[in-house]
Amino acid sequence: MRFTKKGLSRRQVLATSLTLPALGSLPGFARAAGLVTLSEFHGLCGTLTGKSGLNPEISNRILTALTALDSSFPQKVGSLISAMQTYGLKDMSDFKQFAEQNANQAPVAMSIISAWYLGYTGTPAMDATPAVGHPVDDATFITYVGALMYAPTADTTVIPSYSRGHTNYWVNPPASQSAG
Amino acid sequence: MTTQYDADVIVVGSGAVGSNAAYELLKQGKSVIVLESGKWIPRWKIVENFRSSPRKGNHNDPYPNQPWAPTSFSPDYIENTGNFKFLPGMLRLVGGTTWHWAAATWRFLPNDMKLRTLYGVGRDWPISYDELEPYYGRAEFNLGVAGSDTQDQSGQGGAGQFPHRSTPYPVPPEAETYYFQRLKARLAPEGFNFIHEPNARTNQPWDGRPGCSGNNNCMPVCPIGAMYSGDVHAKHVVKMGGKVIEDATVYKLEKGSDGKIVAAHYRTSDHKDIRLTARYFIIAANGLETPKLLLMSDVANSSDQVGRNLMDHTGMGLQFLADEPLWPGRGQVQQGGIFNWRDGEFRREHSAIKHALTNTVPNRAITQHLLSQGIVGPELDEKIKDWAARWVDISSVFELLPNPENRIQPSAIRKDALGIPTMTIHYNTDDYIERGAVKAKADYAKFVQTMGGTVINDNTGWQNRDHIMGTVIMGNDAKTSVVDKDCRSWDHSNLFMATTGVIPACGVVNPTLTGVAFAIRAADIIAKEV
Ligand SMILES: Cc1cc2nc3c(=O)[nH]c(=O)nc-3n(C[C@H](O)[C@H](O)[C@H](O)COP(=O)(O)OP(=O)(O)OC[C@H]3O[C@@H](n4cnc5c(N)ncnc54)[C@H](O)[C@@H]3O)c2cc1C
Ligand code: SF4
Repeated sequence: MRFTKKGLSRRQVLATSLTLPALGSLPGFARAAGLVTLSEFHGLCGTLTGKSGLNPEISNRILTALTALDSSFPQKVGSLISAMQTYGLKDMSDFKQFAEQNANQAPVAMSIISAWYLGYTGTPAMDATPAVGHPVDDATFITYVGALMYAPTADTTVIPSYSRGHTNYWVNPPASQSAG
Repeated sequence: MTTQYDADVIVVGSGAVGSNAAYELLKQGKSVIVLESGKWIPRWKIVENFRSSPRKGNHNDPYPNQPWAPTSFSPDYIENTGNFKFLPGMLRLVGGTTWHWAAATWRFLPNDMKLRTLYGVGRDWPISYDELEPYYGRAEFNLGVAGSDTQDQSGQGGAGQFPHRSTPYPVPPEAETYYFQRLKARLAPEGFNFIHEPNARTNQPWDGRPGCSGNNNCMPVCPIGAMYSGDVHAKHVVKMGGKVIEDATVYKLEKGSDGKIVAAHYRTSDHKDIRLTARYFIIAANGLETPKLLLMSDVANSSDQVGRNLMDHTGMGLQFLADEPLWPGRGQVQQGGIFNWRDGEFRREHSAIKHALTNTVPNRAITQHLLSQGIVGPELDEKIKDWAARWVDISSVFELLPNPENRIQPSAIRKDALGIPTMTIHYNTDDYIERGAVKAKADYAKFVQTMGGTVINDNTGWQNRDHIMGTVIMGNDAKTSVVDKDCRSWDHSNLFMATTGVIPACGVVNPTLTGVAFAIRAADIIAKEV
């Protein structure tokens, strides 16, 4: 094998993600999460992203990373879930109104959505100096190819560093687009 | 009794510039030792580091950053005292910073080299385009540069090849991206001259490298090595019997009694100090580390110009959404740009300008922006798809003038883990580029208007462009320059600088090809003398 252990296991996780059974019942996750079980959190991720079939391993990584940033995160997730139940938020097209009425909960929801879409938590430093308002770089890697921001363009661009084309394919617009 | 030397030539730094100098000397039968503060790292490790990094916009992040070989992004490595935070992304590993350049490999124009004579500002180069031309050709060959033999690269809309070439580009240009084609189709009729960017991202097999397959990851690492990086020639050096000593940070050049340099002293990560001798020395530690080493060693500075005249192509950017899908992000991360302001009488008044078309997969920038606006759910996915198709990203650069007050010095107080001073940089932008910025912004408005665009950001402020020039400035006069046109120190006849830091007037094109051309020329001169 040419890859590092770290790299290999991540690749395996990503490759097998869709076939993994739900991990929500594993006791360790529930304990680490305080007031929220992994299965609850994973369900919440599904609602917040509007996606079914999410990889539970990524939910787990997000929960762990956001809890490391803020130890009260599991409690905050608990209140977010209650607030969403009270409001009856099932569909994310309603989120704006929910956020207006639940100003304390919206940032918690956004931190989870952001981790799913961008594939990292926290605020990365882009050079030698931490980002404005963030005296330390507290970024944690979650996923690369699993980041939801790439799905909408899967038929038009590569996820950088993963080639799917051949030299000069770029002379044409994406096949999926020119056909229509 | 004859003196014994460890090598004919010691080269400090294994980046693209130093490795090419070493390679040319080996070709001519000289013995060469390259001293490199970083280590050999296989490409796949960098690629894995990139893929598992949460800082994908930070081009230094996948690379080693050791306390004993800190990159420029090491916290506090560079202390800034000027009005601009000068912070280029320089690396420390065998092969140097071209591991994550974008491989734009332009020639400077004949007029760039006569800035003072023609336009009354800045400095002239002490060498003409014609004298440098054959070395440009050799540098392009070594790097496998793909370029157009038929364009007027001055951006003035001329009919044929300019500047003139004695050899064709070794590799033909890659196909134009659809994005480039569409922008050109709509903006060229408004008078904007689009030029293909010569580049060392080969599109056909060259010197053991494969043709580019459009991974769109040239910065921070080309996964397949289609894009040239300095390790190509560092490997050639080893194959040809040269030595590349890693973990060897040079901290002192030792002067002999006859005014020549006699030895280089380096320190290893476990604090061993080693002295090596040679007949000739080439300092190729990049535009910041080279002057730092000279100043620490108290050599080559009778002019008091070492470290001064620091120039970058300090730049700014524009992002907007066009009114039609352009499909950016397919192919290489950049391809060319708009060059109307590359040369002309206006240079008396304001800086030259290059507008480059950035072609990176824009999903991260777009998603960050949309999330910051609180956009979620189905609308988020739709907007990502729509914006990613229409995203236009322009990266402009400006020609700063050499100013002795803009300088890099070894830090007086801070040291790295080896006890070697870090650096202090004083860098102020000037009115010459401020006046250029007014023109650039007028262009931005025109681009947006013509493309039926919606502005995302047209006021980025000044940004780093990582092109370091002027710090060991080349000239005709020992009193006002550090090296002569051969890159030889005016003060020490066996000491040469091989770096973009020799460039005395910075134009608007990326400087590395010129650094390599000068290094090949210096190697030829040295080979005749040792
Ligand atoms: C993001 C980015 C994009 C860029 N894009 C382009 C581009 O498209 N086109 C272009 O022309 N330029 C580009 N550049 C600039 C280009 O990378 C540099 O001009 C080029 O790397 C200079 O080559 P060099 O060999 O002089 O220095 P480097 O590549 O920096 O190599 C210097 C080597 O010296 C070693 N070293 C330093 N100090 C010591 C010491 N004391 N002892 C021993 N070894 C030492 C370092 O470890 C390093 O390996 C870009 C730069 C960046 C950061
Ligand atoms: S587009 Fe991909 S293959 Fe081509 S040079 Fe860039 S990173 Fe390498």
